[in-house]
Formats: sequence, C-alpha cells, structure tokens
Amino acid sequence: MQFLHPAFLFALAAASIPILLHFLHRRRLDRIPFAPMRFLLPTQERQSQRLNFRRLLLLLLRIGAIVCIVLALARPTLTGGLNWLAPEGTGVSVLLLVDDSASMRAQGSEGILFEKAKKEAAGIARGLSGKDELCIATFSDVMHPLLEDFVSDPSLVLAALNDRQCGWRRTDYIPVLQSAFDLLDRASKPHREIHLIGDLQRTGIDSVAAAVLSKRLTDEENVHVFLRRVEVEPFVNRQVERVSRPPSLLRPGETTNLVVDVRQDGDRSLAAQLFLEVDTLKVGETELELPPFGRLRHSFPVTLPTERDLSGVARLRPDRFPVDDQRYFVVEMSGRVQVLVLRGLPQSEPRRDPLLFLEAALDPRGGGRGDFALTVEEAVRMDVGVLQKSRVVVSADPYELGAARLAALSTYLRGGGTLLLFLGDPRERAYANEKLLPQWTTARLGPFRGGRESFEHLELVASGHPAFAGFSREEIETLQEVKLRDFYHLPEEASTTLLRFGGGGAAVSEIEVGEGRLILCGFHPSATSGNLPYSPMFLPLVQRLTGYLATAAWSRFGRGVEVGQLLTVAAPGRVSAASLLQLRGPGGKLWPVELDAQSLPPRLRGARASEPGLFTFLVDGQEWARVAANVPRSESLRKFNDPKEFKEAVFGRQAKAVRALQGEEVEKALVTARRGRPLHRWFLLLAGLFLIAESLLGRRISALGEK
Amino acid sequence: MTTVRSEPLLDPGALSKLASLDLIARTLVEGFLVGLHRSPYHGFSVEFAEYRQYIAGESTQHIDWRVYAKTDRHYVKVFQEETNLLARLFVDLSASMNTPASEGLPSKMQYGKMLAAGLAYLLLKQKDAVGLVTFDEKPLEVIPPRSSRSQLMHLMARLEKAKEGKRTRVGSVLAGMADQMWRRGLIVIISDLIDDPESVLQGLKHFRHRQHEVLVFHVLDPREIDLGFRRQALFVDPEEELPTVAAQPWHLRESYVAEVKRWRKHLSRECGMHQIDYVPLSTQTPFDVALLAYLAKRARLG
Repeated sequence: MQFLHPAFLFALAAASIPILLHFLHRRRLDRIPFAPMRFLLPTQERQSQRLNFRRLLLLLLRIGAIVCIVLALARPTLTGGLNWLAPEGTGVSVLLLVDDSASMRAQGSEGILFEKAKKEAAGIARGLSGKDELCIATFSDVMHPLLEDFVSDPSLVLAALNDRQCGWRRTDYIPVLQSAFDLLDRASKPHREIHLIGDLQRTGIDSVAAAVLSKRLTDEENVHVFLRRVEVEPFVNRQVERVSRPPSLLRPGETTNLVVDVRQDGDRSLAAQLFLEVDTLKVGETELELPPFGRLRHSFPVTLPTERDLSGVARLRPDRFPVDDQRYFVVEMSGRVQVLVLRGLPQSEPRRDPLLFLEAALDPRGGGRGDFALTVEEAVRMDVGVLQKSRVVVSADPYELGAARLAALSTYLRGGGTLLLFLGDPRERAYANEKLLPQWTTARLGPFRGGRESFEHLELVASGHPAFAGFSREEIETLQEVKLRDFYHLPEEASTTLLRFGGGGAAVSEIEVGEGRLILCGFHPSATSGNLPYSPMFLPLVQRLTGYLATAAWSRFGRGVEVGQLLTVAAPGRVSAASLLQLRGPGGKLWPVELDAQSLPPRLRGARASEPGLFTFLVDGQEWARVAANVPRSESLRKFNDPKEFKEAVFGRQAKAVRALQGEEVEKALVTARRGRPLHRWFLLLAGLFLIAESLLGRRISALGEK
Repeated sequence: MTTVRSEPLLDPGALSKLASLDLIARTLVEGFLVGLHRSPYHGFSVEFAEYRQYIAGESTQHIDWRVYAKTDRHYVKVFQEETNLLARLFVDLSASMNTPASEGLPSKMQYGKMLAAGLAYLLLKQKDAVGLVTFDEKPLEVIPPRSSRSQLMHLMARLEKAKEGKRTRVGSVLAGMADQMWRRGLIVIISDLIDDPESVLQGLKHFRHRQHEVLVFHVLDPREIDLGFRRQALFVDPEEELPTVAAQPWHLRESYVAEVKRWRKHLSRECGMHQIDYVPLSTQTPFDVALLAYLAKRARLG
C-alpha cells in the first residue's frame, strides 16, 4: 500500500488523543468515601473484566476511527498483489497508439475522428508527470512510430502529433499491437502502458493472431492496455462499393459496360446522385434511389477510343464519410492474349487428342485472328522463356515436364500466371497426384471414372462466377446437358467448385496459387471423354475460362489495389536495366520503380499506394500502365466495438491488464493503474463504521448509567 | 392500626437544619406525638401529669369534658406513669458513619445523633432512665442511665460534642459492653453496622444472652442502598481498610443492590430469630418510623 499524501501520516499521532483522554479521565475521577466498600468490591471484581473489555473496545474504536480518517486523508492506494500497478514516483512508460486508418476520416461535429483522437492523445501526454516517459505512434494495418524512442518531454510528442495527417489504409489491430509490444521493449520504466485511441472498428481482428497476442500480453509483466474509443457520431453512410466490368477482352472501338455498385447503411430509402468520370471528363450521371440497408447497381456503357488504358472514378456527393464516396478504376485494353498451349500425352488417334479441340476453341477462325494468340509447345520440350510472355497457359495432361520445367511453371503460376489444366487421362493419375498437383495445392484427383455406364451431366454451381456471367439460361442448360464418360472427381477442399458432376463430385475447380490462379478440369476436352467437344457450349466454355484467367491475371498484376498495397504491373518487353522507371502518384509525386526480371513475367515494382487515386508507371518518361488505388472496403463497414467487446475479441475477457472503459472511467482507471487502487473511500467507510459502533457502545453505556 | 402522617417536623432533612440537638429532639418528639392518632397506647402513663391544649385532628378520647364545660376550651389530660426501665443508646461514631451524605439529607452520624436525641427525650419524658454509649472500634464515651431532668441536657451536650471516630468494630464493642451491663434493660443500637455481619450478630446475641431487649436501627444513606451515583468515581473506604475502586456505578448497581439487600435480609432474619428488633432505616426515612418501632418495643416491655 502506498500513500499519495504521505505527509498526512504524521497526523497518526492524533491516535494517541483517545489514549491520553482515557488516562486523564481516570486521573480526574472524584474520590468518594463510601462505607459499604465490602459489597462494592466483589461486585466490581465480577464486573471489571466485562467493563474493561468494553472500555478497551471503546478506546480501540476511537483510535481506529482517527487512524482511518488520517489514512483516508493520506489517500492510500493498494498496489500489492496486482502487478499492473506502478509505484508512485517511479514513473511509467506510456505508448500512445493513435488510429489513423481511413475509418478515422469520418466527419463529426468537431472535425474528423482522427483530430479527436489527436486531442485525446495530447491530453494524455500533458497529464503525465516528469518522471514518466512517452512515445507515440499512429497505426492502421502497420504501426508508424512518430518518435524514434521514448521521451520525457511531452512537447516533442505534441509537435510530432500536430504534423500528422490521417491515413487511408485498412485497420489490422493484431500486428499493430505486436509491434507496440516490441516498441515497449525499448522503454526504460518497469511499468508500461499502451493507450489505444481509435474508433475500435470491428474489422481488422484476426482471431488466431489475437490468441497469440493475448498470450503475449499474459507473458508481459507490468504492461497494461487502455482502450480509449473515440466516440463516433452516427450517420447514414453511402458508398461506391465497386466498379467492375464483364471479364471480356476489350479492343479499341469496342463498347463495354462499367458496372458501379452503390450501397447505403440507413434504414430508409435514400436518393443518391452518381457520376462517372473517365480521364477527368464526366461521361455519365444518374439518380439512384437506394433501398434501406441495400445496394443498387448501375451500368454505364463506355466506348474505348484508343489502345490506351482507360482510367477514371465513380463518385457520389460526399457525405460525412467521404472516403468511400468515390472509387477509382482502370480499364485495361486487352489486345490479343498470349496463350501457351502445352501439349500433353501423345494420343493414338486425333479424336482423342485434346490439342485439336483446344486449338479449335481458342482460334476458331484460324491464323490467329481471334482474341487469343496461341503458342503450342510440347510439354517435354517447353521453352521456359515462352512462359514470360504468356498470360495464360492451357494444357491437357502435361506429360513428362521434367523437374526444371515443372519448377518454371510453378514459379510462373505463383508469380501471378494462370493455368487452365485438363486432367482426364487414366494413365497419368499417379503423375498428376505425385508430381504436378503437389506443386500448387493439397488437392488430389479422386478415382478415375470411365466406361459407358457412367455418363455424367454437368451442373453449374458458381452461377455468379465471372467466367459464366452473361450466359443465358438456355446456354447454361445446354452446358449442363453435356455427357461425360471418362473423368476424375476433383477434390473440393482448398478450392472453389465451379461445375459439378450430376452424380456428385467437383468437375471444374478454381484454386489460387500464390498470386496466380489455376482452373482444374477433371475431364478431357476430347471426343473420347464424352460429347463435350460437340456441344455448342464447348467453345464458349473454353474461351470464357481462358478469358477469365487472362483478366484475372491482369487484375493480379495490380490494376486495382487497396491503399497500402504494393503497386506493381507487368513489365513491358522493351524494358531493360538502363531504362528510367518511375511511378507517378495522384499529386504528381514521383517514386522510383524496380524491375523484377526474375519473376515470370517480369514486373515493375513501385511503392505502396499511399492514398486513393490513379498511379501511373512511367518507362523512360512514357506512360506504361495505370493502377487504381482505393480505400479498403473494410473501412466502410462502419461497425464498431465498444471497448469491452474489443477487449474480448482481441485479448479475451479474462485479460486483467486490459482496461475496457469509457468516458470518466478511463481517468479513474488511469489513476488506479499508475497509483494503485484508491482506498480512501474504504477507510472513510471504516471510520464511519467505527464511529457508529463507538456511538452505539457509548450510548449503551450511557443508557446503563441512566438506569 | 397506627398511621403516622409524615409531618415536616419528622423529616430528617428539615430537622437537620435546626440549630441544637435539644431543639431537634423536642420538635421531633412533640411532632411525633401530635401526629399519633388513635394510638393503641392509652396514655403514656397511668398517673395524671398535666393538661395540654387539644390540637385539631387529635383523638377526642382524652379531652377532659369537665374542663371544657368550665372553660369552654378543649384540654387533653396527659397521664404519667412511674417506671424503672433502663435504656442505653449505642450510637456509632465510626468514620463510616460520617461519609458524605446524599444531597439535602443529613449524614448517617447526624441522623443517628438526632434519632438518639429524640429517643432520649421521649424516654426521659416517660421517666425512663436513659444512658448513652458512643463508639467506633471501641467505646468512646459511656454515660450511665439516669432519669433525672438534667440527664437530658447532659446527653444532648455529649451528643453534640461527639466527633467522628475511627474504624468500626460493632461486634467487638457490643460484645464488650454486654459483659459490663449486668442490669437488664433496653439496648438501642444506632449504627450502619459496617462490620462483619457475623461479628455484629454475635455482639447482639451477647445482649440477648444477658436478657436485654435489643432494638437495632440500621442506618444507611440512600446511595449506600441503591448506589445512586451518576458519575464515574473513585470509591474509597473511609476507614482505609479496603482498596479503592474506580467504577462506573451504573454498571455495578444491579449486583450491588442485590448484595446490600441480601445483607440486610440476613441481618433481619438473624435478628428476628433472636427476638431482636431490627429496623432498617435510610437517612431520608422520617423519624416517626423509628419512634414507632421504639414505642412498639416499649409497649411489649410494659
């Protein structure tokens, strides 16, 4: 136990007053000559023990009352047994974590939330004593210390805080708190505090990582976390949720639909005016009536005049959270898609050869006049260099690739390449399961189903998948009427099933491999596997899957990113180490760009997107590609935890070192944490009880006297 | 049945304010006699002594109607009887008798002296011989019984001059005096009997053994009966034999009162067994109680 005002303890000498009075009172007794002493003596002896006890009790009660009052004045605090209490006078190391994620840009009556958070942080900094030390950092998905080390001068903290602007990135609390614990290791005081100041939004909490963090907090001694929520004023938020287009390949002069999704989170219908700008020119405008808690989709037809990429922004009139009222986009001209067709197992007759049917599907007019420019290679002789310029690799049973080629294909795929793979030959299940698939996934082929008795229909599972978007009902029915005879059941774990066999089991699955994408088909595109090649839907299916992979590859190459993500695009073929590579931001700021020639295909790597807007890659001063950076959609969710919910989600309910408090409770908890649990009220209560007991006992003695 | 009106003249507090013991005795006895109605004692004597004026409220039995016929005034005939009763008044003058009295009341010693004076006056008025013994731990003064008129003045003078003695030894004093008094008579003891009760009773029994009639006036201050002190105090033994007691009286009152009651009851019972008249008095008890007790005793003695 400690005392905030130990000087008052000198007043404990006052406890001797009742003792002195007790003896003085005895000394002042009147002497009364009393004749029948012989009767008084035995009576007094009998009563004396009880009387002495009462007198002693009365004396103790009076002393106790004085001691309690004096102790209460000395403001005692309890520190023993709770390791989170800093002894008064030793100081404490305080780390202020101020949320500067995009959600903190919400407008309140006193400015944006971030400014409120800054004020709160400044208040804490000013309230610290000279013995304390302080460090400050802002955070979103990562922590940015504003000072290199802990300082004891709050003005340094205030200065660093004043210059700081709110960021645009997503929130990810767990790595931030891990970094905060790392930073606290530099603190010199044994007792440490983290003050997390922000809106405590619900997104950005990974439960597995939170468990690790909670364990760390338990292991850390004398570290306490204060959750200080900046109060968010409620309002109805509208947002441009997405700008997309069908996954079709585009060429100059063609018209495509730019689809804009708009939503609102109010419980009443809401009018919203939507604008579409392309290259700073307004090309579309519409009035939308947004349903309660719902979204509305509007399509703007846009014609692509040149071969240059198209970029723009879809806007709503700004509300109190203007961050998500606009969304930037880039529509990339596809040109002709370079497709590498890898030839697999040799077939005894042409109708069994998948290549025949694949070439027919991807280049139906012949001569490379379609959307796809095909390069055909035998798997066993594949030139690895071809991979660099291929957007999509299409193959059926790639046979005897060899270790080097398989490794190159894996690198290509993990680096953002795409592969459409047909596996339908009964001879190569072992090769596929032991060599091929383990490179990319834990999924394995099921048993081979073959024979005339096992015809299977297809069923479309992922009807909303971009590869099937735009198919009519008749077209889907036609596709589902296809009969397959020889096939594998594909595994369904670690993958997204697009088509299933009628009798069960996945027929077509999509698997993410690193930054690349793999679509696996459990059948051959040949006549021996069924009637699929003769179906009117064969060509559309192969073309759609290939086109989807081509556009997916582009998106994976960074044409649409979140703020905070790395800006990267595929490098042009003419680039060399001597080329001047630059990245230009929305404000005209330039960043250097690195060429990653080792990746397949080679890439240009710029900076991380610092703000929403359009970023342009420049090669020797010429524009090469644009990337649209937008605020993470998670920041628009606008769901917030109260401190207790946040504590439970991040640290667990039992974390004693975390104070989930609001308003005035925070200041009280601070006093408790730094100075211990205040006990003066208890002492006052105790003194009151002593005085009541003294009064009752005294009254009882007086009452006896009145008899 | 005898009923006595509590006249102010019999009130110990009021009487104690009078200057001389002689006057006190006269006032006391005359007041007592006036207040005695329908007395079973037909006159105080068989021989005519004097006339005195009838006082309103007095019994008309003794009015001399002849005198009334002659004078048209009411006179009462007072008779006088010859007697040879020897009465000895034992007055305790030990220190315990002179402890501070309750407010407005005489001390036990004062009360005892007044009672002794009154009894002496009454006895001599009836032509009995009265003697006086004052004592503490031993006899202080012994005045042999006489019935002469000068005896009263003598007794009063001695009583007035009597000073506080030392320790109380009631038992031994009574026992010693009993051996010296061979002629039987009336023994009146006025004391607080602060001594070993068995010793006291032993002394009283000595008198009975010598065929004396014994009348004991056990005088206590009211606060010695009920321990009616309101403040915490240091109680000291006036005879300095017992240790002091610092006490809050209200805590001890209940058991103390029980002790005193038990003590007085014991004395009363033992006295009764030996035909000793035991009269418990407090210093606020009107004197007529004591005088009636004496008269009852006197009547039995014939």
